[in-house]
Amino acid sequence: MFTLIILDCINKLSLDRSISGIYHMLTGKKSVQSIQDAHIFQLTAYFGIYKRLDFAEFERIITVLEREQFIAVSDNYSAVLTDKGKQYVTDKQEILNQVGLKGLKYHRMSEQFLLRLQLFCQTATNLFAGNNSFLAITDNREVQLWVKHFYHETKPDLRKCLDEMYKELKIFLSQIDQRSAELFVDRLTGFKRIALSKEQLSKKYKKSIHEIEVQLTDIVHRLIAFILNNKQVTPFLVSFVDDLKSQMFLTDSASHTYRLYQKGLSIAEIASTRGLKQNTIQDHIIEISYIFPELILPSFLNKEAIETIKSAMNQTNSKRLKDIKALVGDNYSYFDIRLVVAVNQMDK
Amino acid sequence: MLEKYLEQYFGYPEFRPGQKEIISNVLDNKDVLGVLPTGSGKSICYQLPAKLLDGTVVVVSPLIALMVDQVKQLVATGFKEVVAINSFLDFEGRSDVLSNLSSYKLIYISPEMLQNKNVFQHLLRISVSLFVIDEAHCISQWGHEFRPDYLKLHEVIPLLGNPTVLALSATATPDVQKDIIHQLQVPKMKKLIFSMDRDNIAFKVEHCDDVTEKLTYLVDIIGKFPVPTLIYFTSRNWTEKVANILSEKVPEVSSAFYHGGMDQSERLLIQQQFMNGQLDVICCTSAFGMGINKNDVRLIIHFHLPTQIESFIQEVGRAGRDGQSSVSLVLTAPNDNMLPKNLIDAEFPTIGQIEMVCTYLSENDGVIISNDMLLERYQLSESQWRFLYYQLEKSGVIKDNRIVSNNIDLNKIAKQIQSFVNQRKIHKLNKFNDLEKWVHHKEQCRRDGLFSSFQAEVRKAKFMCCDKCDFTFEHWEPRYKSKQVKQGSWQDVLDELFFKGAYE
Ligand SMILES: [Zn+2]
Repeated sequence: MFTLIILDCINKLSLDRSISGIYHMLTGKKSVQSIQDAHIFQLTAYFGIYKRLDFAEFERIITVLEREQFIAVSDNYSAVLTDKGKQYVTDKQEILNQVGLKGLKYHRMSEQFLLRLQLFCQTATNLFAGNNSFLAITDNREVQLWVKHFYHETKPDLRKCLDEMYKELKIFLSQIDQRSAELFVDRLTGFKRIALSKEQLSKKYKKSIHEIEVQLTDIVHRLIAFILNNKQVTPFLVSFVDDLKSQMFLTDSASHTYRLYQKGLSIAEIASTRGLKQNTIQDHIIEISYIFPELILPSFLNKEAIETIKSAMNQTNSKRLKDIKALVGDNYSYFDIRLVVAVNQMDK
Repeated sequence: MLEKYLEQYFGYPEFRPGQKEIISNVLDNKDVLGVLPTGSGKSICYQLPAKLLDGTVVVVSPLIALMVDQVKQLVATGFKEVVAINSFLDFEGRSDVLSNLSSYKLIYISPEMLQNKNVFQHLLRISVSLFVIDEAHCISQWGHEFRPDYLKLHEVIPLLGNPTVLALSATATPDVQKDIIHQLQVPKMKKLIFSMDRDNIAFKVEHCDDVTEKLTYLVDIIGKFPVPTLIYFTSRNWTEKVANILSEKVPEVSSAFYHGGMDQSERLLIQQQFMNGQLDVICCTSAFGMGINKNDVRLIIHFHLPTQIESFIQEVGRAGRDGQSSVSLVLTAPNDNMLPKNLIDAEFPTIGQIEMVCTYLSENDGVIISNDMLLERYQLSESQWRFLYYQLEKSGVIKDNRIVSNNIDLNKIAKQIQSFVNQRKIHKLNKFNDLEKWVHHKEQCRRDGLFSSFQAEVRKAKFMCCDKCDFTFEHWEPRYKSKQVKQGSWQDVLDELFFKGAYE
């Protein structure tokens, strides 16, 4: 799956972006540029799905793909699929269609959600079995505090809670493929049963560590989507996600900008209030416009401007800002164009 | 009486040898030097007093990972007024902790943090009832792990209002014991020394022709004895390599590797699987073992030797804490000694590094020392720099973290440091040679050879003794229970986790 995802990225980006751009997107780094790319090239599913990926390791994977002639890398470090690569992606389209990743939507909350679930499972099962000395599987303080608090609420009827959690997990796991279900439960720690490490999973299923990482993320994203779409089926598990939803979309810095924007401050004013460059604030506005397109666009551009840029977009049929800019001329800034591009990608 | 508290707070029905004597002396306000073998529960000697004394117990420990582990374990058992202050604690966490310092009964602190003025100011404001120096042998240059920052501890004690002092070590020869008392400047310290030898562990050394033969022998033994086992290596690569070989050649035994380069939470899983009996064999570096509470480790194998007898004894001491028959096996091959020698070399700065740093100092009089910059610029490791820093401070070129190089002959100082490095290297090589001699000794009983420098009399073995006396693997019948965690379908696993179906 992981290799396939990289090939899919290369396929969609082709020569428009460098390979490092894929890395930034997968790790969710350099947010604004990457978020924008994710939208433009329809790669939002993969955004931030593998935060721990090491750059050197990523480069190694690229080298292997090149050596095996799935891709051809050009001098400016961008790449295209070879015929062999294209054939491979076509053959495996089925797998890509089944991918449940929703990176852009869930990448900020999925780790925290999973840790809550795992730590609660460990805590509740151990305490239920009468063992109150166990080492927490995570040091994350926020997660520990949350579980502590949640446990106190559920303590009066622990058995019922365990039953509920069991039931809801079982419903979800029955809906996904066997392998994924197995992988998911292998990562759960309970009473006298310690989860397998990723290294061990890699050996057990004869898959690379990267494959395991991405598959686990895939399952977690599917679980979150399942919970949010079937709240009546998963009344217990909803508590693990509900308060995380607000973190779903914006970076902290962008949401700060958003609050000031809502107060009516201009870009220049926000920049000076926050002591940041105007460019940075513009980046935030773009980020926000992906989420609240109807809110942002009209306050910056009038109908005519939007239409002009839109038709230039269609005319060039290119995703390069430079090409669009060449058509609309100096009447509009890059920022204007980025805004329109952002909002229009959302329409699709 | 004390037993009652031990049971109440820690759930142990009785003390291990030495614990009670040390604790009652400490509660009696007597300064104590306690030498207790590894695995005999040194930490109870201050954890129980922390529960019983008014005021706070401060423990200085150089082993940050161990510190963090212990705090976690204490919190897990319900002892919550405990904290570790070390460089891992971020700024926010630290100021949180410092502003509530008096609410803790037990504070672990690294020697570096003790030197931090801000931290120390806060410590001065609380009432310290007991000051513990863990791994006290670090204070002695003749101990196996000299830590220059330990030499300043004697200044701290009076500033804290002369609390009761407890120095603890698992491996201190009589010379080192004397040095500890001398350096701490606590003259009336009572020595409570308990025997280091573990009478339930038998010793064997197997001389192989090369690495391949080592591996063959290893695979054979692991196949014959699927007991809880630790295999020690000096490099991370080797732990991974051998764990893979074992998984392949002896698939019925579950093996994994463990080293400091792994992600912390993944490391914790491996450690807990081992404690839980899900894993039989762990291929590890010396990073594994500290803070491990597993009583039934039956076999300790050294695929590579550590650099000194003290470390070897500590690692072997992780076997058979339940008193049952256990074995230490050392595998050797020609040229094995290169690795430890390189390790010793790498501990100290090179001549070139010493000269470059001295040149830098002579050109930057009055400048404040930036550790990171110097580490980076001169490619110094932490331990190399710690060593160098201490030497420079001792010769007066660094004062209060500032360079004082005006009118100082740094050439001369560089030469002095260099000659000291040579001395230390020779000392360390001698220590390694002691271990080598033990390994290659023709007839001496292994237990006598190992323990006689630590204690006057070595006890008789409870089971078999060693390969020079009576030990053979053919006659070893270790007791162990193998707990295979079932690898069923995901439904089975889920049922088991949530006490459902057959697991109700
Ligand atoms: Zn013997």
